[in-house]
Amino acid sequence: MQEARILQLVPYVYNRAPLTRHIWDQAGVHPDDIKSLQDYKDKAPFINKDTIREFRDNNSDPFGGLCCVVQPHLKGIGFTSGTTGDPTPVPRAKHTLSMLDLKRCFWHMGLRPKDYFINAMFTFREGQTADRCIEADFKPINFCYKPSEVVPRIIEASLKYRPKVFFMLSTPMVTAIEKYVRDRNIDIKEAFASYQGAVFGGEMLGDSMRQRINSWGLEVYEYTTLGDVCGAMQCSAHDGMHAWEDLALVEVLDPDGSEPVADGEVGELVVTALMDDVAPLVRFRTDDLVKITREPCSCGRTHARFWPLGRKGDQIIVRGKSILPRDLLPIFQTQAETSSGLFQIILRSREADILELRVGYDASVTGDPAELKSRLLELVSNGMEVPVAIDLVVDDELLKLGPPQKIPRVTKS
Amino acid sequence: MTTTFKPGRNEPFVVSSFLDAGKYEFLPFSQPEQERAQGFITAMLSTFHFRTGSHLLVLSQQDTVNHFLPIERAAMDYGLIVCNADDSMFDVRRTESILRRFDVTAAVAVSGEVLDGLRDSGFDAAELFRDVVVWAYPDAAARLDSENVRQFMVLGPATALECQYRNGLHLDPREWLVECVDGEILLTSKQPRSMDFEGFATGVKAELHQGVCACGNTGPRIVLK
Repeated sequence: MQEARILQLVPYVYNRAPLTRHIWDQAGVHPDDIKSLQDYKDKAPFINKDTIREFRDNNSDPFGGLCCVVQPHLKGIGFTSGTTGDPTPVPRAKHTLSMLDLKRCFWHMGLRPKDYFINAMFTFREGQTADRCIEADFKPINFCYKPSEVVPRIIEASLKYRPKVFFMLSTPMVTAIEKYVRDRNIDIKEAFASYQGAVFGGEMLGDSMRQRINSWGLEVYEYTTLGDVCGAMQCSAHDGMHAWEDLALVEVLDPDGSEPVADGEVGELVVTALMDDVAPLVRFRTDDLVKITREPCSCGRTHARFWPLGRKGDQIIVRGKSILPRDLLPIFQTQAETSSGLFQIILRSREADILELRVGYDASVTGDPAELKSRLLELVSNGMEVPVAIDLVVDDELLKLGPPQKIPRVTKS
Repeated sequence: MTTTFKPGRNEPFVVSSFLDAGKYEFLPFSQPEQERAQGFITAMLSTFHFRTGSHLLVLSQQDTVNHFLPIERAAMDYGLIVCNADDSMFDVRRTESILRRFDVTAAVAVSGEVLDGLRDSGFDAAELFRDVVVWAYPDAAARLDSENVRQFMVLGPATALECQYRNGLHLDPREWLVECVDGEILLTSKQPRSMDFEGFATGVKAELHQGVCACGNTGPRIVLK
């Protein structure tokens, strides 16, 4: 099926997407050269975020040469989060793949026709999508993502409609629920008793955060992006993210080359959108470092599973040791003052002699910031085995640096 | 008159929210309501002549689905390309980016908070929205003060907006019986819904203007005091 879809995709996108034509012509590759899936893997040139931005800037094309359609098929424009810069426009049709994969995930979690689910997506980049659930008869209860304001309403909705899925949790939402429950002595397990599961996404989930959510009686399903083609979520086995290989061709390649890495080895996720006719990404190097396995899951599914490790650009080498944000999160989440896990790596250059961090703390539970700093310095330097410098900042100040649900994990200053 | 709202007979496909005297209530919303509301918005868009393929900036939040889903789908069917940004001062970079990069012909619904955010981020809202038809909440409309501005309001469960002719805010006359009692606008639903309303007090002080609007709409129009 993947081969059939690739052979259909290649001439379609070459004839419509200016970036693809430009890149393929530059590489001396023509759709006629692609007669099999293996041909595609051997010959198709790569694109990445820089290629798209460069094409966008050089050609005054806001879509970076990706868009294959015009009105009436082009219905709307979504956007990337803008965490690291100017939000990138993403053209879209009336129906989007993100809802298709979500509905599959919700079904796996136990959502059935006529069931309600909490829809508090922390980004609102594709407009209203409630009518995209009609054919599945899944009923969203919509909330805006202002955790401290909506938590009482979410609890009220949980008791009134008895929803089955909570979509979705991130650190600010978890913190807001904890604070609300603590201040009012609410039986949160009873309020959340109807849920089959809660989705956590948009950022890393450490063990400490998972345990905090589990303590409410919620099973947590981690959710991530499959290289901006669609989403990918854990199944009930919680053993890797399930890719949807009918929606995307998934490759994991040497981060510095084009050869595939073996299962279990660290590589860069490279994706091709198989079902997107509006702006398909074709051999897109995502910058995401992952491990992958093609072994069938114990849940019975056979598509690839992967484990996100971090972004290639987020990696810092301190005295020869590779460190990613994911390595640091568990350390901060074990301390009450920094349990929100808000921190940044100061990446002045990819290689450094000292690990510089900006760490957020909850002032309401911090007695002596100097003592906290000294404790964190010891924990991080022992954990990472490198010299460390820490700049402590209150959580609220750090949150101003990014969209409401997350902050850039790596910054130059 | 006593404010009442109670579950109706329509099966909802989504649950939204509305404000009742400053308190949020859940608003189950059905497909027939969505389709009727979409038809009303199409009629409002048709009082202009927006070119097919031009862009509509929609500023909203996810919990306002009953107001903005009809707007988005009507605009798409009309031939506009919908660009979304949050109705929030935290998302004004995206709002600015859309206005800068795309041929935006109209924007809905600009709030005072968005204008504050644009100002605080160093952007000139009047310049950004120049030559754009702007549906704005009353506080923002007063600040923009341009002939391109049309009023936009949320009255509890109902959406109200001005047409091209700026003769006051229209509500869907097939959907709502609109009354003015002691200077306050009250709403009663006329069609089967997931939540029925009878004499719902919107808290909006206004006058009702009767008579046919230049756009052809025969319902009463709300003119704010």
